[in-house]
Amino acid sequence: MRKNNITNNVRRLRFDAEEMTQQELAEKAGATRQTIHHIEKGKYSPSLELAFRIAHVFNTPLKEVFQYKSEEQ
Amino acid sequence: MKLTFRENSLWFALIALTLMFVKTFISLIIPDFSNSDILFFYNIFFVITLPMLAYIIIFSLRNPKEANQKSDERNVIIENKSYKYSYIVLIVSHFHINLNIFLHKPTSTIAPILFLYFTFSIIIMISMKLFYYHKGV
Repeated sequence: MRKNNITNNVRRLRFDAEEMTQQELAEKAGATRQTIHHIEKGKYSPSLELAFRIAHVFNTPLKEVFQYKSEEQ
Repeated sequence: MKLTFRENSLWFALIALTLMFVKTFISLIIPDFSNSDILFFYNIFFVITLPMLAYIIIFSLRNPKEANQKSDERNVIIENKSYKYSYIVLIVSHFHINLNIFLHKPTSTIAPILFLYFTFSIIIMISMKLFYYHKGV
């Protein structure tokens, strides 16, 4: 399986947002709870649109939510 | 780990199809076994299909939100990947079936083989879906 170079702070941002549940985030971002679960675990990299929607829910810039780590780093 | 409604339904379908597949496969090898066709399919219906229907109805009534949940982008990716493997099996099966016709095998053999391949492609599709649901895409 391809190595995932994208890391995220969704778990921490949920905690900061009054301990928002995965279900609540999923409903606000228009995804399923399982998708949010897999994003948090780093098992799934969301599309650009879903990434923006998640960032919009937390009212933060995209780079605060998702980070890309290149092979050289 | 708590399985979702989608995964539970897939497990039911996988068990039912695998039983049908195994039964057809055995009846191809041991022709005498095909005598129990009707009884076997009745058993499959009562043992698997009825609980499956009951599960879907009860779950839909108790938790309509999850039961009617729309597919999101991850589900679409999982479905597309699973269909790909299913199509590969179907394409390979076409070659085998055409070979059987070319070799003038009796149609009584070709029909179960056709059924076997079709069932097998669906089994592959469901298995791959379950695999991707757990392992991620």
